Amino acid sequence: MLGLIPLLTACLAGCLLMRMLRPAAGAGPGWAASLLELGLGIGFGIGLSSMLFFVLTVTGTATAAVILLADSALLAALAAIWFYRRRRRQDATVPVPVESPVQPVFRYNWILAALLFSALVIVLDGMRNQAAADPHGMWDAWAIWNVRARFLAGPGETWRNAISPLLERTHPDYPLLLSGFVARCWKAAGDSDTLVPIATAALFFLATLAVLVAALALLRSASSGLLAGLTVMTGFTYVSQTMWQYSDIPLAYYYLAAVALAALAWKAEERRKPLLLVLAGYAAGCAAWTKNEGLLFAAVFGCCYAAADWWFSGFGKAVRRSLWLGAGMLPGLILVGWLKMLAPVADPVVRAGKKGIAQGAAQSWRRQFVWRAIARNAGEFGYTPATHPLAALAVLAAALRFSLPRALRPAAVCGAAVVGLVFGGYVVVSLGAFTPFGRFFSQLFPLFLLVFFLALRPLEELFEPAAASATAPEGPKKKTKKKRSSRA
Amino acid sequence: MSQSGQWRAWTALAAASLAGLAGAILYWAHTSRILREEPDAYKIAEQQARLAGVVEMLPVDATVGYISDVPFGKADGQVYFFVTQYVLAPRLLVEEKPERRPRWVLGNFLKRPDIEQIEKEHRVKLVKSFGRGVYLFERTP
Repeated sequence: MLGLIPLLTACLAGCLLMRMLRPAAGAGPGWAASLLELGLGIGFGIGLSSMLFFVLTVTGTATAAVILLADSALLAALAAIWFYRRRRRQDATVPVPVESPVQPVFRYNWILAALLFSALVIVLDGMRNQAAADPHGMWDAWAIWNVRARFLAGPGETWRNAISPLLERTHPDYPLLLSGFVARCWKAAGDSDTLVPIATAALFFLATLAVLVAALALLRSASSGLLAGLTVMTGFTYVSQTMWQYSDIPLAYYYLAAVALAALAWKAEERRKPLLLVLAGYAAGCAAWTKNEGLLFAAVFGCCYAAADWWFSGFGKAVRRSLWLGAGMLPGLILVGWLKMLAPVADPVVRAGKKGIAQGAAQSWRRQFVWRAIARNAGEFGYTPATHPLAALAVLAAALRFSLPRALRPAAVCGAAVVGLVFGGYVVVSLGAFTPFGRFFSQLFPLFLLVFFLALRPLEELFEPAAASATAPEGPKKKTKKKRSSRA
Repeated sequence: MSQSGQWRAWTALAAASLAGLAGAILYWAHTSRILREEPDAYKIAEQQARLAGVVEMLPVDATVGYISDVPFGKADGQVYFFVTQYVLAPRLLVEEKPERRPRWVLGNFLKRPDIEQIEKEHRVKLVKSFGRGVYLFERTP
């Protein structure tokens, strides 16, 4: 139980930081902005404390006292700054209004919210069942992620076992966000209670749901967010994998957070863009610090963002904004680079190399094997065909149709390109060293839902057209020719 | 929007919402079955109890050799090895190889082993038998 204290302090620090930075202030409904801050705070707090723990560990200063002292100091500093800024705002003679644009509201959103809440309660009880059945998680949890957390949490120099070349089958070069965070909580508590990885897994699931619902409510409409949240529940593989305690669900969270923040940056006024882009970059850096696939994501996301911004906003702006994004990625990328220098190369994909991939691509049985695995895992992603996410999305797309406002085009194009290219990358590397596609689908599932619901016509436009047209000057049917530099 | 379009949208909305709720219920039913019928699929709790004596006896920073009668090439052999590594951590468990001879060696057996032959073959001496197929050896100089 004691391990939950450092877990909660990390999340609280992240939430306080987000509360101070207010990434979604003025972007939409207040509840959505707060939910986004909460969702980002949890994941960003976990990422930050994992990074700090690795630095403390490598420098030989990671003890329970130092971890708890650092947590207390960080929390005290954040709380002090928050109170100070709040007080200054109250004392200011000219208050700075932060007004949210009034959005049309689908009158039956409360039904969607009630359904989502009910589904969430049922899923959380299911997760409790799963955690009770397998408290140590599934194979990779005790063979890779949690065993490395035990090495990192051990006394003296045992942390070196986590990156030892003797660790032949446990991938000593895999990034350490999840293992590092769990180890930090165990080290501070002085035990290795399974409650820590279980709670961490549940928190990442909840944070993903919060970011997805909130980001869509801010970018598109509340109904889009709530429908996306309900669709998450149809992803049987995704929901099940939460309590496997693997790194795929945290990775999915960081993919989603990075693209959602970039989308908010495109929609935000110019002075808020740097903050949002640094945070988006930080999320991409955390993805790289979570799993090797995150390195592919960070590269693809950086390129797609730069290309989309160049296309929609012009070269100069794209360069400047991409630098902000890159600056945010730095902490995660530096740590990954440091780890790769300390640990031996063990990733099967890296070991297979270009030669292995070329050999796999040249063999027809290998290609068929990969395609069959894709089809099988895609089919199994929903528990039954009727409750498969693709079935739900197809029904929604057929009835509501797609309609993408111009302001959201850069985000949707960038997001779709990221999903496509990252998945393409997964297929290519699987030709050289096979990895189960069920987990790849889970990694991309929340991000795919974000892109899908960004492009889907919201219920507000169908059922409350008068309010929607009054608040949306750029209607989807409006056709005007503009210069390339003003496409956004 | 036309009347039929609105009906279509309502139907789609109901279908998608119910699919979400149904997905949650099916997941819950699935996990309830796992909890009832196959909890602790890899018997980690059992292994923790089996290896508790070794964990107590070995120094926390030890590197421990591993010998077993279940070959690593088989799925069962991998389960035994990785679960043992997990239970023993932060000690490092390594497969015994000619070029790798740590001081401590853990024997993890399903069948009764020939201790004398193991001692001769691996140049180790039995320190303690913990029962249930668990043996701790120490390398002789």
